[in-house]
Amino acid sequence: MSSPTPRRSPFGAIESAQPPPHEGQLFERPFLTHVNLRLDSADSEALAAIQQMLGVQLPLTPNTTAASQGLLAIWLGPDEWLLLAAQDYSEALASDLQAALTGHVASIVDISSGQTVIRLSGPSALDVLARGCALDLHPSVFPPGACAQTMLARAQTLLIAVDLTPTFDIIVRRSFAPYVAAWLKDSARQFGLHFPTTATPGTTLA
Amino acid sequence: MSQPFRLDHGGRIHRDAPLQFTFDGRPIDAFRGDTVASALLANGVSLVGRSLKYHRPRGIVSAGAEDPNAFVQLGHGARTLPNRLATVTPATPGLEVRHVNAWPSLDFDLMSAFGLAAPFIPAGFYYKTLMWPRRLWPLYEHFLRHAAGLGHAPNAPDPDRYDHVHAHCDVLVVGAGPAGLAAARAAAQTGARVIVADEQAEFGGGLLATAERVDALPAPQWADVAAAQLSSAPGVTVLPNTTAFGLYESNLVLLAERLHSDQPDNAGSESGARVWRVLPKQIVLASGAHERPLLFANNDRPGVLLAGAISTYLNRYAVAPGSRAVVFTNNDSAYRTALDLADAGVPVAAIADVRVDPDGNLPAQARAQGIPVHTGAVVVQAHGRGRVAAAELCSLDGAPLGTVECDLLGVSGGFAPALHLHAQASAPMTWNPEVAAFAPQPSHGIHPAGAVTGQLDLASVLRQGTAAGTAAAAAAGCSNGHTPAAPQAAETPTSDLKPYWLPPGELARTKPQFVDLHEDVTLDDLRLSLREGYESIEHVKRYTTLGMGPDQGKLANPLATGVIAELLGRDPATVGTPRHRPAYSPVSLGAIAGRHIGPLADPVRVTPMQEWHESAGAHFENVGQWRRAWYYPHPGESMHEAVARECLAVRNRVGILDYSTLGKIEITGPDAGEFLDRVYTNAWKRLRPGRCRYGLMLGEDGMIFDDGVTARLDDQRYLMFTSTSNAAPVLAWLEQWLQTEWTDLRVYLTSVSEHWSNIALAGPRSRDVLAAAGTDIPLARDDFPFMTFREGHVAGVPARVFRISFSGELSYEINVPADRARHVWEALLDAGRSFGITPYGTETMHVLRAEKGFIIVGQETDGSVTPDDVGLGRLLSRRKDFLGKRSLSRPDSARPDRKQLVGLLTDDPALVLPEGGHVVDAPGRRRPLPMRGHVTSSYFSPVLGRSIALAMVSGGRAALGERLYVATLHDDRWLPVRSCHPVFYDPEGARQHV
Amino acid sequence: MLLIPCPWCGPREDDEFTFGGEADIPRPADPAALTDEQWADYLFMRDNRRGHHREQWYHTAGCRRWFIVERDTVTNEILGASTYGDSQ
Repeated sequence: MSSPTPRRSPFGAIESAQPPPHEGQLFERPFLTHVNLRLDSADSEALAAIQQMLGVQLPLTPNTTAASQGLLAIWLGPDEWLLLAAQDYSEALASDLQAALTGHVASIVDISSGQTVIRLSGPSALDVLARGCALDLHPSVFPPGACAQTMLARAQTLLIAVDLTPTFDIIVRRSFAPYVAAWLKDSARQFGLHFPTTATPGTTLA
Repeated sequence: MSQPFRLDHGGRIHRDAPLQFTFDGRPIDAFRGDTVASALLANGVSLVGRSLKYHRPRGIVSAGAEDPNAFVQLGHGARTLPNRLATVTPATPGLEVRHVNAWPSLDFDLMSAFGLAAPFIPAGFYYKTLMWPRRLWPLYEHFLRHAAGLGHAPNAPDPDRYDHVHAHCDVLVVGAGPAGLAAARAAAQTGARVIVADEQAEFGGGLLATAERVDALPAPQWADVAAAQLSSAPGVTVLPNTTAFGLYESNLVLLAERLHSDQPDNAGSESGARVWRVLPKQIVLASGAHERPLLFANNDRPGVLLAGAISTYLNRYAVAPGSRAVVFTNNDSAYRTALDLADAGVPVAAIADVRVDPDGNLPAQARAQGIPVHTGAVVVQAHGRGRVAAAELCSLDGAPLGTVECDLLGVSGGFAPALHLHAQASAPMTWNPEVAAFAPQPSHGIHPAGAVTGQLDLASVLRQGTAAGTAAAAAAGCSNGHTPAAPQAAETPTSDLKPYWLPPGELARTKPQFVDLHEDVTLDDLRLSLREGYESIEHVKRYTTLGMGPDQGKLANPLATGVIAELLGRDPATVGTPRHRPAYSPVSLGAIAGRHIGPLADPVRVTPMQEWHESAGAHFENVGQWRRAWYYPHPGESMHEAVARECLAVRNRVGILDYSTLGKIEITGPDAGEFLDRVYTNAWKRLRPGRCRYGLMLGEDGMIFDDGVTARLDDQRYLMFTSTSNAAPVLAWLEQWLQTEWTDLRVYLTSVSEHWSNIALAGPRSRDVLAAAGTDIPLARDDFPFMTFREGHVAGVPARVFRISFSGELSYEINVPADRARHVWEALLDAGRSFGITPYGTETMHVLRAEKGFIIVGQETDGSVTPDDVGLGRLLSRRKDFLGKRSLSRPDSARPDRKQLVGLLTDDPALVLPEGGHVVDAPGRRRPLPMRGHVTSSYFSPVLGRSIALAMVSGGRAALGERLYVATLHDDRWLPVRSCHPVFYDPEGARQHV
Repeated sequence: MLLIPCPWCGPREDDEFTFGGEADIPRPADPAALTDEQWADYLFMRDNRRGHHREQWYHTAGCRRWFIVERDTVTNEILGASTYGDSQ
């Protein structure tokens, strides 16, 4: 259920009836649904219930994701996942999960406002990420569908390999947005990439 | 001809691309392809600097990174770079080059008087002499400042941009000489991801300076082909101008790539340097070898060059570094230099060979060309003042063999492996008697190949490189099933090297004989060190500064090992080599900092209301990484006035605070209450849903770790607030207990700190404001009492509202999803306008809580404070165990003289005590003065119209009302105070219950 | 730089982790029953071993799991890593 008040994303997007313009090689994907799910991966009944509900099995292999219609299940830990879905789905998703997991020990928490997704795509994507990420993101090691929680420069981040363009989704915590924006601007400059954002308030980060 | 020492043909310079740079302002003609050093030599510049201690004239010694003398200053102003080596700096048009160590000028150097005083400046001189008398140290220091000339740092912000890159590969090849190129080719053929780096602008290393042939091509041409093939091979990254300067644990290798700082900063390009942080699966160490100098008197004279360097200048740069040469060697390789000199038309007046019977191919060729070869002969002294003018020869038994005129003296003591990276990693190495030097052993993913192993024969080096590249790729999991053929070169039969460390007999006493040219460490200095008992190579290093220069003792250390061994009568293998440390050669600080400077030095975290705070003119303070609104001054208001206005607004009307930075953890599961019982000091299981409670969390040592309010959201869910700075540590602490000790508890934790923004409304009119902003939550006192929470909507946004108070006033903390927090914030401000709502910052928050005697963890507490110390003993449950409980009955925790929280009131109500001020019983001159405690918080309280302070005072609670004094640090005054109960305002707590 | 093998996420650079001190120091079941000396032993005394050392690490920037690393404190060589599930 959408509230009448417009939302503001960490990188300064303001919610409107129009979907945000996804252009260029570097942009925010604001207002997506982020639900954190924790349950015992040995609870096979719970896993089955989730699979039935989502149409996808929660990934049990570390650093992997599983996609179904409009939803990405991302491994965060042996008993923890992030469910990433379209805008305005968080309440429905959370309550459906709650219903599916009745009688099981689980934690379902909407954290959609606490983080956001940056999409980085194009031939220089690996080069830009290599400026701040210590992981080997070469497709032979980190193929589409792989994910990793790691550091991007000095901010904690969740990286997801999307396709072989290559394209990456970078999930960052909300309060780090001005830092991440300034870092991306600085690192992507030599590759001619621009990050359209208003999240660098003047007196905060010159 | 402007370049009198330039050969008229040959070399790899581009004669069609002449250029000019300056050395100490004097124009120097050069060609593209020159280094600064080769161009200086071509122009007959033999003096490039003065030595560190004695200010002796010094010239170019080598053609690579090992040079101890050729340090120069590049550029000027903000872009200037000190301590760059002329031997590896490409000559570029307009480059400004200056000497680094002469005062006041290179040709007329006052400090060379130090040279005359050399007998009085032995090793340890500074420590022994200049420390006494102490009062003269400033004078010495002034003098030494001039003496210690190692270039100067830029004095303006660096306009260059520096890049950092993480890189991964199967095989990293360090060095692109014959072994490195062969290894990189072999590894690349397996499909491995390969990075190959070389400090020089062109790949090829020694191949670029030899007349030998590889695969039937002239060696330099083969190197070009191999480099071009690597550049275009998929999965291969070639990095010229790139020095591998550090090898660390996990085989992390740092590379410094020099970018073009002489070029204008084109938009979009990085211009200073790029540091590559490479984590390879395997390393081929093909870092080559450094030719070892030899000892004789005045072996530091300009014109004394390493023999291999002479070949490099002749063959690669078409420069003859002199016009008449003498060669002094203990091995075959220098004969090649003699032949190169003869080919270039430079007469070789003599070869002095330590060996009695050198029978290799090269000595035979030299003899056949008619070059006079003296066997069993050594050079014992160089003559000439500004430059070598003659070499004095002597037989091994000390018999004079005459003096030979020359302006170029090529020396070769053999080749010592460049094992610096290997040694940085403490990897094993062994003494290799064939080269009389230490050589690295393969270990932990490091494959040494080529001259670094002591192998000098080109054909063998190429085979070794190929094998190392293949083996490294295989170890990294890459193989295509067959071993590539090694490039072919002719085998050159050689005669063995004969180690030569000290001149024979008394000739070893001739002065001065330099072991370390950069640090001006002489043979006498080593003797002195050994005589005084500093025999370990590490002690010799520290006593004499051997190898401590920016050249890292590349030439000096391998020589010193042999010299020390001979002086001690020991096997050099037992002497060892000093531990090498990064950086292999100087790396600019800008490159190390990379882009982690200015606003990117550390993340600045902000709340969704940040832009509003900025537009409202807030001043900010940093709280850890967070930037928080500190106070909101009206135009013309001082901080004191603004804070007073904000405080009174909250006490009398209503204020609004952005408190989004608090840590928030959702705790879910059937055992959540039991879990809270164990981590908090008070009882939680019976807290009813919808209610809140203040909790104290202790470390196992019984000391306060964190505090905050936790609410029970429903039967199996709690929401815990942590202090701002402890959000991450508390989560780690709670997870540790759940994951490692209490694995039976069915509890899950999820951080929601960033999802929920927290807006505090505080003051007697806060209920009115909340109602006016629109909420579906009943707000009447009995419907929504103190220490409860309700879920509903505020200003149309889903909200969790907590009736908790950090100010002692009627207060609501309103949690809303961060995406809509700015809207709610502004809606509350709009609704509050008619009630006089006032935004307040962290300073007012602190004053208000101090008036109420509420502690702040980390301000009143410091990791040594128990709950009872701050008067919160009532929160300690007697009926259950909790983390830290057992520690509270340790004798130390029950000491009667523990510091306890009290209030302090100054006699002068206008005086605000200094935070951190020491609390004492009475003023006195005795030092140290017995201390009763310290001031933890101190403010002016506008509502009380006087200053207040909180303090931790030994035994303070039992003596409330006592006379104490607070010492000021800056003006040595004693401020009289009286202790009191730490709650200054509304001690009954009536206001928050209304 | 230590490359720490998180049993879940794989090898990661050490700045992603928080060190948690010596492993295998279980909390006493009934602290109240201990003497001051026994409690102090649990609280303060650590072996500070030279050589093979079992220690706790927390993958702060990754999966937020605590796990055990075996490390040689002389060479800094990592000899292995295990989850708490493995070791029980």
